[in-house]
Amino acid sequence: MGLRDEQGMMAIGVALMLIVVLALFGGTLWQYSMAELKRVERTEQDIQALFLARAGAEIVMAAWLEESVGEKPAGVMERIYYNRDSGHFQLTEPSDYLGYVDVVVSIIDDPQDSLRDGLTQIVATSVVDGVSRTATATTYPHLFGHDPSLAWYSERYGTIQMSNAFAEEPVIMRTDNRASNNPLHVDNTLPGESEVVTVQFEAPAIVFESPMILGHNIGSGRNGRVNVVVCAETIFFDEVIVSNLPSSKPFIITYPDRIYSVILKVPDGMGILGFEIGAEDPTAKYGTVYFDHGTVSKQNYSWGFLGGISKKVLEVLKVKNTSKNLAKGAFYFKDDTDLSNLAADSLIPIPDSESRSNPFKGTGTFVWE
Amino acid sequence: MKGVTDSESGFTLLEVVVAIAIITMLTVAFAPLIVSSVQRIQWAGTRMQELYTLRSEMEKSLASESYAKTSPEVSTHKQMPNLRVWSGGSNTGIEGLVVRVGDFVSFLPKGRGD
Repeated sequence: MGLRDEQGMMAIGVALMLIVVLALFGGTLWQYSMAELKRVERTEQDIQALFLARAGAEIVMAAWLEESVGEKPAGVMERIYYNRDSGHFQLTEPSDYLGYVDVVVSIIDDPQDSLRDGLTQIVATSVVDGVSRTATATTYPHLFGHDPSLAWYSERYGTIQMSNAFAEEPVIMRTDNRASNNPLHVDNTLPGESEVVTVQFEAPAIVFESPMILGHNIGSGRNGRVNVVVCAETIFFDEVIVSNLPSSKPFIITYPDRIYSVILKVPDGMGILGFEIGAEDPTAKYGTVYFDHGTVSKQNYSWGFLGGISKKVLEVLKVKNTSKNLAKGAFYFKDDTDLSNLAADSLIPIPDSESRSNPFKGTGTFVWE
Repeated sequence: MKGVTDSESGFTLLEVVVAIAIITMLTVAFAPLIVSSVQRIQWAGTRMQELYTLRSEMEKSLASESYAKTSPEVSTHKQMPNLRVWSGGSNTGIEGLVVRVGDFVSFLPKGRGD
């Protein structure tokens, strides 16, 4: 074999090597580019799924905030789809949709973690083209009125206690329904006989998730007057019943007052002024109160001839000089409003257009996890 | 100086031309693959940057209702008055904005985010 032949063989070898090198280089580049494309596609779907999950959680959160206590969403929600054609979220499966979200609302049951136990959690899981993402929102760990730092009432029995503590964050008033069905009420643990006792709950916002029935045990309870002052800029009530048993002297014995009232106050430095809401008194201070339950009333009792309680009349509480019930209503309340003795300008209905969730702005009702 | 310059051994012009032709053919054969791959990689990089920009824009829109309404990057925002996800309760509709930035969609309830 001559030199030229050897060079020819070498040229073929070089050409083959070039083919291999180019093929390897091209193939690697192609694979890398395809992997990059896949990564972009996956990232896009991942972000789409994340925002869709957040949308689902936001939708259910909005429903949760709007609903009153006892009627709030719980358990598995309807599946939510995003319809590409209409650009709307909907509950029926559309022909062309971006993805869907499944949302579950639950109460955290974790006695080991006292900060999280009892909080509401919204878990939204979305799926976009097979890519799944989850968004979780949990109610801010609010204080409870029965927490030792406040001790406004007994969690187990619902009895209201004397306490000077006030809170600088929203407070939830919830008795332990697992232990008893007692509402928040006044019993003989409050001191004094035939005297005026004032108990005050003070916080920026107070949410009653349990009923407050002050005359719960009036037949066997203490004498005297008890004013329960709820001092907050925003108040959400569940069922409220105040009681009235004025003193009587039917014979030679005098029967004392047993009067329980709820007084609404606005904390110092908070609230809105009357002129902002068109109130008669432009300088008066107002807060907002929501009566979420169907019962807001006063029980009027009277003493019997021999001392027993002879008469009980349930009086539905209404806005003074109107036929509007307080129950299921939303109002601006004037500072120092006594629910059992309403003045004409004590309560001003809040327009329906105002969202219930507005008072929660900035209070961190839910936090994303 | 003898050696490299005086040597008679080497490639003929024809061989060199053929070799260049082969190399050119091979390169041309692989060029589309290489060029399209490079283009795809470049596009992927640009798209990834876009996605992060859109994501940031979306976060801003969700953080502020007024921003969501006015931002030119938000292509659509619609009221959604009658979505009921919960059969219990008062069945109140849910109002808010459907916020759409690029291919991302989310929801901002009325009265929140400002």
